[in-house]
Amino acid sequence: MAESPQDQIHVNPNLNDLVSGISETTQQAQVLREQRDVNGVVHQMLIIGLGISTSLMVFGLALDLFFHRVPPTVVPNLGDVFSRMLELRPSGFLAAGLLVLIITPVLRVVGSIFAFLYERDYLYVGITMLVLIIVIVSMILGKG
Amino acid sequence: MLTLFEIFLIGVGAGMLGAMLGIGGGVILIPLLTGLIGLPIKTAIGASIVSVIATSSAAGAVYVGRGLTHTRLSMTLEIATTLGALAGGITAVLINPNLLAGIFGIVLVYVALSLRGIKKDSDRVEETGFLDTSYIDPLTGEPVKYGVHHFPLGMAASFVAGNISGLLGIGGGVIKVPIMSLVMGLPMRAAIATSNFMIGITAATSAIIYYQHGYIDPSIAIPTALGVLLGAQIGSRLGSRVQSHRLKQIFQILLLVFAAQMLFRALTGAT
Repeated sequence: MAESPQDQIHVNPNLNDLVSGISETTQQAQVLREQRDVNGVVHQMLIIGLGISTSLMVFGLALDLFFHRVPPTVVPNLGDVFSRMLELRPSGFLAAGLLVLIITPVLRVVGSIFAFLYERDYLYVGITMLVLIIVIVSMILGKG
Repeated sequence: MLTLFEIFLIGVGAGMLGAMLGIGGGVILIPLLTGLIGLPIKTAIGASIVSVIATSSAAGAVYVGRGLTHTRLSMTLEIATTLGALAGGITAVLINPNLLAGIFGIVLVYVALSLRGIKKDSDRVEETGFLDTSYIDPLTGEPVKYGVHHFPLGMAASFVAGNISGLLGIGGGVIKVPIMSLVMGLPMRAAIATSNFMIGITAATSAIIYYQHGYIDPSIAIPTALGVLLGAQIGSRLGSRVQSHRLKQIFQILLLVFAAQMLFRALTGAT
């Protein structure tokens, strides 16, 4: 692994280049930097997904409380979620919040596929696609 | 009939305890939801799996940001955990709820016994030439370099962990973390971060199945998930201060009480 102190302290890579005056040229440093990119993509996707889903859930619950209604005990069919949201029905927002939450890790996997493609790490493109395929199979086999 | 707020509070409690003890909320949440509210076990499992995804995403983002997660290892082991979760999720919707309660009771006994917990790094932390990586230790600021031992065994354990997760709606970290640390030679921090990272996609695999079978009840799952998220935030801040043996012992007894309750339910069919 890279031994220079610049590589060990994970500061912003661009800033790092500015400070050291040279860019990280060794292949190891390149690998390190790419790994940071995959992690960065994943990090942002998880936070955005979590933010959207909790907002939808809180909004749905607030609508329920506002209309003095008891929250639904069953989720609507996947096809009805969006139309219920358009009608401002709480059940639509609650279901959407649940679905965004469930889909977030799946989107994280999709995001990693692109990140690995960008890195030309085709072994991990394959491995990650296999995970995605298993999830899609479960979506199909899990039909009620 | 419990209100939304009371279910939310149960979630906060489970999330806090889980974060303080370093286990997911699921093993606490499901016995509370079935025992206190009398929910059917499959509804409790559906609510738990949603909370498990939420905590995995929240904690996962933090660990990934700190560079503690072995991303490539987790992607590879996820093949095994998602396959396990697929099989477990389909089994869960098909089998008799009493049988599920029985299996849950046995897993609770295992969790209680494994909780005496080895928190130190194994002495096998070294570069192996297979999936070698490194991270900066947050305490010392020194880089820790390590590789992976016994990969096939790790895949097998991941399948079992995914299977239990899909079947019972828990995260499965109680199985993966000891294997990753003791057998595969990951430093403890990396094992926890990597296991937690894998839990999200694993739980999503079975959650998709539960959702389509109507086992995710929004009036339960949503207040629970929001509560667990908040509780985990509080718990992880308190965690380092209250890491006492006393807390662990109390919790072990609590888990054994839960186990007895689940096994009783399995034998008598009480709902």
